[in-house]
Amino acid sequence: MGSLGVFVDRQVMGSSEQLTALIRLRDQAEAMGHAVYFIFPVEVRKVARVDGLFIRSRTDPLHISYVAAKLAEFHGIPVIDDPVSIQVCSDKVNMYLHLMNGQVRVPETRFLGKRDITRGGAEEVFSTLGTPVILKEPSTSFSLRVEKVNSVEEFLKVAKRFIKLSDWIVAQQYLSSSYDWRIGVLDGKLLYAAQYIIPSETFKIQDTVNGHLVYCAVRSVPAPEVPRPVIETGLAAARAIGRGLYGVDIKECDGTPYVIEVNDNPSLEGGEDQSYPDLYRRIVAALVGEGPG
Amino acid sequence: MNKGEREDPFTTGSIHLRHIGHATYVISEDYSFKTETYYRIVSLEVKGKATVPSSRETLEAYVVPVCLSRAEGAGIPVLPWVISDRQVPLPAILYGVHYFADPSEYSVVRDAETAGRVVRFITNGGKYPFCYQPIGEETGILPVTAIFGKTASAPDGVGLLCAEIYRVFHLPLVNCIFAQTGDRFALSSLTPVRYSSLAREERAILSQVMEEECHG
Repeated sequence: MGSLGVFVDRQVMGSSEQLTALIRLRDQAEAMGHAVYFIFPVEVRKVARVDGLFIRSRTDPLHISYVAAKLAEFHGIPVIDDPVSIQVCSDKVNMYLHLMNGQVRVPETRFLGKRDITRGGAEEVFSTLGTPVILKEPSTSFSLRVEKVNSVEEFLKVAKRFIKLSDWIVAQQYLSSSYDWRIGVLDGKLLYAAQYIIPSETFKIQDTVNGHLVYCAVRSVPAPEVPRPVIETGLAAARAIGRGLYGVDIKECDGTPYVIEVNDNPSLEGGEDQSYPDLYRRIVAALVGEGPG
Repeated sequence: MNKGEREDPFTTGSIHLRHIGHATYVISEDYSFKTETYYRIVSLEVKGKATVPSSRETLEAYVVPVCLSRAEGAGIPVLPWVISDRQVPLPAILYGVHYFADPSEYSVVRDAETAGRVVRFITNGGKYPFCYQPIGEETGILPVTAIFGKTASAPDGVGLLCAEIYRVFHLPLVNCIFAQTGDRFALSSLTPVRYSSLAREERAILSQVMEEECHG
């Protein structure tokens, strides 16, 4: 019997969907004969006492979740997400550099510094990437600080806001689609596949429209129904980052898959597992083994 | 500038790359996450080039609980640290641990009113946890600038600690924040250094070490 630590925070425990997903994870681990302990930020040192750690709070190299991941690493404890995956995936610049270096197809991408945030710089970006252009602040998550800009004026307004938070920002070709594929990968293998149906009011999987949060609908899709190139692209994208747990977002344009991003700490509470009943078992097994259960 | 005087290369924000052996040494004021320096390092690493420091080391150095855990594991004396969301015993040194935390900022708090104000600030009104380090009433703070692990005028023992800190984190330029209690020193954090804050002796060390590293 092993002990599985699940690192959470108030935000996660305050969400009924996420709490339900955590309970299912706990039930699965206990059915496999493992004990499960929820670890909160103020208890981060307890990470050293568990046999495996699953991080379920927002990840960022400057957040307490990174401290949890590093403590697990220092103690030789298997951890999802591992510190390198957090470092790469929580930073869009780092992530796209890894994807491009791994020959993974992404939308046309430019990295912009302060000196590029000028009228001339904006015109150059539109002339190479087309109109509109997507601007991303590297630490974006849940589609925050991702904006679609249609003019030089919009570009300058958004880019000046983002460049205050990061010395480099991302400019990207806009690809339109009514849904994104989400390919879940664990240790280099397909874990699940889903479609994230983008709300008609926005181009993002989550957005605030007229003061209201709108979310994408999630449709779990059995593997045989997913186009092979989509799965292969998802696996290649994950391979370019590491051997952890990733949710790879992919858009298909004219039948060609493009990786929009690779998420560490992918959401599991939207029904992604509906066609994949062994999803939680595989995560638990990766961290603390199959157990005696 | 007088004729024959060399121009000071260490202007604000300047980044200096030195290729030595198989590694690229990156000398900068600030190695923080998402700075120009950080992205220069990441860009080199993705191309398979070894850098000093690595991006991993920069994060380990500037995230206080990670820094102290890593340093302690290497045998460097460190202050005990605790993550809290509200309570803090006094006196203590406080650090933010979140996306907006500035690695160069720390607060020494000795009374409840100041502690409450600082905690509200560094937790963004209770949204994030923070890190505190309990200290004694008589404990003082000693910042020491280390240049490739060398120091200009550090007390006995501290120079050796700075050399050890460089061996672990490989930051060419760093401020080592020590807590001093009598003749004992414990690491509290590592923070960025502004070129403009360097004393003449420290600038001399930096220039000399860079020359040595180049030709060594």
